Amino acid sequence: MRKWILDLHLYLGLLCAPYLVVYGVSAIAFNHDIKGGSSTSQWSAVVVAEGGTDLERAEEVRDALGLVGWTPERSVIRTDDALLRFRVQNPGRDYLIEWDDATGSTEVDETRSSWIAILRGIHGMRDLEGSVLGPVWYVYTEVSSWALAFAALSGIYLWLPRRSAALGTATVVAGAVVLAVLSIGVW
Amino acid sequence: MYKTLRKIHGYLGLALAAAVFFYAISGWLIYHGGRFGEPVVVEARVTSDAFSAEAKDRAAARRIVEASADELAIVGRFKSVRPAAGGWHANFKSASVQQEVRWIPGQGTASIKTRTFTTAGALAGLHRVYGTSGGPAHFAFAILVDFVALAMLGFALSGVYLWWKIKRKRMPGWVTLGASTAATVGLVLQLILAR
Repeated sequence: MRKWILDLHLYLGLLCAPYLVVYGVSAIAFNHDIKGGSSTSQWSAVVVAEGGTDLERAEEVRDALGLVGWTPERSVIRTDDALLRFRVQNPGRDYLIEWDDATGSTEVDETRSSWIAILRGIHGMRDLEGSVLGPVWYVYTEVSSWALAFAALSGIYLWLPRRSAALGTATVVAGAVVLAVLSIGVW
Repeated sequence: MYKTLRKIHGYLGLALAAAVFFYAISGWLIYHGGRFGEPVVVEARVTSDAFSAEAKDRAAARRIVEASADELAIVGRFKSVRPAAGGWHANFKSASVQQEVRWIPGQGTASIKTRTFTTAGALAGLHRVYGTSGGPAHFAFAILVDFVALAMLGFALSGVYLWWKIKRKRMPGWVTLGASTAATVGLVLQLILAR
């Protein structure tokens, strides 16, 4: 039983090690409001889209441009009869797109975020439209959450039979008390 | 080296077991948002001369509402203030309570809407408490958050080292670590490099 739990602790730990790095760095960035800089650029293309609604057309243009990210419905605005304006967003980019129905002419204002903003963005990200890694990240986050909870409990289980069990128990209790007291302070 | 790192990994893990467990479970709750139940909403109106004064900008509006914090029974820390509907809306938040104060200068009154979250909602709120502003309690909690975040990095790196030293058959570990690293690095690179 003990060997089995140690193996599970080890392999689940290896599985969620990159997740811990991402979450550790992004948690520090959240805590100290670190976002990094951003840069902008403009580019243009010609895209034909024939979807039914404006949102469907916007998503068609996004896919035709090969962009990854969400198209918030509230961002889709028809500025005049021929011009459709919308955003495509992901943790690394914010595209403001103006697409001309009649000619297919597409103007894109692209804002690039820093790598730290990307780590903040994927902290808890549920999906990423247009990327095969979006669903993979969803499953990975789900598994890692449970793996982390398991690692905490199995770590206690693995430590307690040792000679220093009393010190280990005191450490667990002290950590829990500190967490409880500080949580009450901000509750 | 191995013994020292094992002790650090072990005792740090024991000390932060409760915090790590809490962040894992509350993070999962947030990830599956919407299962927290409806908050209890209470609205009240407070009369005070402070709300008669004109506020020329956000900083002045913040001073007005913070000066009346006791009368308004504010329990959270200041989050934001913005002009709206000819007056001002200010927001305060703690882990379990969210409060919105609305007032129009000259009227001498303010309305306050207090939302008290369910226990699950408050746990999700606690997961999102970060930043050093808001007084000694928030500062102390921010230090805990930093400590847990740095420990996460330490657990990841020391865990890989300990696996390397413990296991003679390393192929299953390489496959596990390789797959998770490929997914993470692949996603970050896609977001950095994609057009």
